[in-house]
Amino acid sequence: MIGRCRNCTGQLTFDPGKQMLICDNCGGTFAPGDYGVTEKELLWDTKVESLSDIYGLDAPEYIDRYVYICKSCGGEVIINGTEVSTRCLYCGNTAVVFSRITKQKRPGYILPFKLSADEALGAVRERFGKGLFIPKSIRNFKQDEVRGIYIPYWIVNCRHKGSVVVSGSVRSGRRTRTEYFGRAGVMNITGLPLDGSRMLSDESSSRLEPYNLDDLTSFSEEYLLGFYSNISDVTYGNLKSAASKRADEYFDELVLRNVHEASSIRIHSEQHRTDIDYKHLKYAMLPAWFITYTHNGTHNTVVVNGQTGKVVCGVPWDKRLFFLLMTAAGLLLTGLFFLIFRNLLPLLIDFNFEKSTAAGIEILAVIAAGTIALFSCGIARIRKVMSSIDLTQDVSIFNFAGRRQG
Amino acid sequence: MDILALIISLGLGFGVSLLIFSSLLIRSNDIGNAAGSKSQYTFGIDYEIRRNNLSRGEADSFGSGYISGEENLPTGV
Repeated sequence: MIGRCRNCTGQLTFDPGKQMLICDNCGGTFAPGDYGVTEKELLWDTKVESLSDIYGLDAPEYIDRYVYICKSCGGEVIINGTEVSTRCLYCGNTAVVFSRITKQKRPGYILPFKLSADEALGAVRERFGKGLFIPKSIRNFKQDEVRGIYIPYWIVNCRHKGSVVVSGSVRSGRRTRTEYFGRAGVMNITGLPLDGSRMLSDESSSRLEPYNLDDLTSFSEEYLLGFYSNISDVTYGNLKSAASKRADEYFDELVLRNVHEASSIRIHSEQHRTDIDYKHLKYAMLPAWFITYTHNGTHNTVVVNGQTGKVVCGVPWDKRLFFLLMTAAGLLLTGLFFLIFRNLLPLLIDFNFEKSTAAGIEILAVIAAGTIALFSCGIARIRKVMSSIDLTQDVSIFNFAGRRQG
Repeated sequence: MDILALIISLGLGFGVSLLIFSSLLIRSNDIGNAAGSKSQYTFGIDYEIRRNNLSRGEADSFGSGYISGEENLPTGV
């Protein structure tokens, strides 16, 4: 049986370090893909039934829940609408729902896990250890769950046509005027990975990039052993809007870099069109570790790229330490600036209005504008961190990782 | 004069401090915030039209007709 050792029928698990299937019982090793297609086909007809149909449960939490019978122990495995592999609650073995990866829905490729759970945890702890404003309780966090999940991705090639007008400030003498710059052209995008799961936000999944897609290998169910996985549930429309969003951003960034003749440049108007090459779409499963921990009663989900070990999360910050250090530095800098300006101001401004003060007033106006810009930039950066923390504490990512059996 | 110097110094001092510490906060607590870089997926834009010093009117009508047509999505999901 697939998932079982041929020597002793022990449970097989894919070992990211060895890139082999290891028997938990006898230690035997097998190459993934050793099992014949016919063996898998026997399991394609195993049906998955809706939990509400079987038990007549109409509560909202049972709507997207299904029952699959574990091939190892016969226990009922509860899965959601897109899960392909999970762990049986009773025997702990990996249950692969083969009927969900028949020929029609089968991913073409898979990027096997390179990082083990311990390595992923180690990467998170190491990164947390370097964070100046990460509270000690989080640095020594105790994980609630560590789950290796294959996320369904569509690898997309597309052709993007764009027409963008950039406005910017150009100085002529002492005056500044606004000028407009038009750019139109074509951009080809190759190998763009787009997450195919509606349960996981695009913002979370795009942060996991880059994946080295040269390591993609033909899909085989054996790679799922020991891991959770989902199939894609997005439509072509979802895919197109996700590809368009990324392509628009890339195009705008490249155009802004192409305008050298002005300062303070920004997009004035834009038109875009992205055409996906649907004939060469690749459907692949890419690996990620989801590590959850609880801090002050709130669930936090850290995601780690299962191939490169890139850690993605926003971490709650030590506000007391932050404001203490910022105030101390602020007072120190205020003292320094006071020494400078107490001597400099009488040279810039004549409060008796006997001399012309136009240049001095202009300098003061620049300082005032600079101060406002400093505060705006600082506040924007804090807000960025807070939005990352919100993403890490988001219920949808917690549910994606947490609402699984085993 | 001293009061004006103090007001300016307070603004600049705390402004610079906020900028420095918010940058440190991003480094410390916003981990892996960068999405995939465009250089991994594209070699850049082949510009077909490149115009500088457009008037406001020209800017508003720039590129009209350059993007056209609707793409037909494949059927099914």
